[in-house]
Amino acid sequence: MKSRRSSDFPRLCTGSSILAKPKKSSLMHEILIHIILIALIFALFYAATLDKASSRAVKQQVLEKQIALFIDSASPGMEFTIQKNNMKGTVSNMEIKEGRVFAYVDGQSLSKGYPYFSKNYVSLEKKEGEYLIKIR
Amino acid sequence: MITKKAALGEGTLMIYRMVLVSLIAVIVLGMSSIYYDYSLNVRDAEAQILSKQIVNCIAPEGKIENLSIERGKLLDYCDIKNVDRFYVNMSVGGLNFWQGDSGAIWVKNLFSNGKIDTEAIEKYKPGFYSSEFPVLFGDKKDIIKLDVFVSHDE
Repeated sequence: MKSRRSSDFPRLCTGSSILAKPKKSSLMHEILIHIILIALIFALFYAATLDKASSRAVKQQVLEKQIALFIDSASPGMEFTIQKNNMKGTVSNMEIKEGRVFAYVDGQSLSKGYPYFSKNYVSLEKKEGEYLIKIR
Repeated sequence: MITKKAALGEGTLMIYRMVLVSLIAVIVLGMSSIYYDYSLNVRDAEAQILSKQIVNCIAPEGKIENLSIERGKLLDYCDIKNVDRFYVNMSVGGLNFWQGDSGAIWVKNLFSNGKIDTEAIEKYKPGFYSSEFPVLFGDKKDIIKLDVFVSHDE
């Protein structure tokens, strides 16, 4: 007859509820939670560094400020185009509103924009493969 | 065998661990975004462009016809937009015109006098352009002296 330890058997007791769990599955459960947590943190770090490594924010800044300077120094009647497939990346969208230039590079969705001070009326036309800015 | 109290304690410990890991993650991400942040400074170029726009407004073709500018409204007279970042000071024919916060002069002096280390706050250095333009004021030759300061965009 094989001897067994008393701790291997679930104990029944009246008055208080006692949870009986085998030790090995409890350890596995804990390890699994830790692995998931570490994986989540790694995914967060990866997403954050990927954005910095691609330097999209720098390209966006360069584009917005260059366009704002163009608009500031332009005279009425001038117009200039910005190619969508630019050396600074693919310009996925562009907006000119409330006295600011907003440029979105490689699928960005957020932009603080950069202000221009030109007194002339500025309009933006979106065409196939390029953006046309007119100063009137 | 785990009692109910012990299970509750383990849950509390797990919450504490998650909060600690989240805090460390936020600190590391925050510090990396600050360290790798890059700010392109075009304020000097803006100051130069603005000074030329003001002179073209005040003296089209180099001749001043009319100078009925309200006190402290030089940029408004020239229909310049988004004037909050600018301080301009112009003197011509013994008259002085300006608009904006003259505190920009103090900030610029802070960066240029070299008494304190400003490398960490270089992104807040105002753009500056000072120029003189010879013009005809009425029938007399005169000079427009113009100082333009451009502050950091908030």
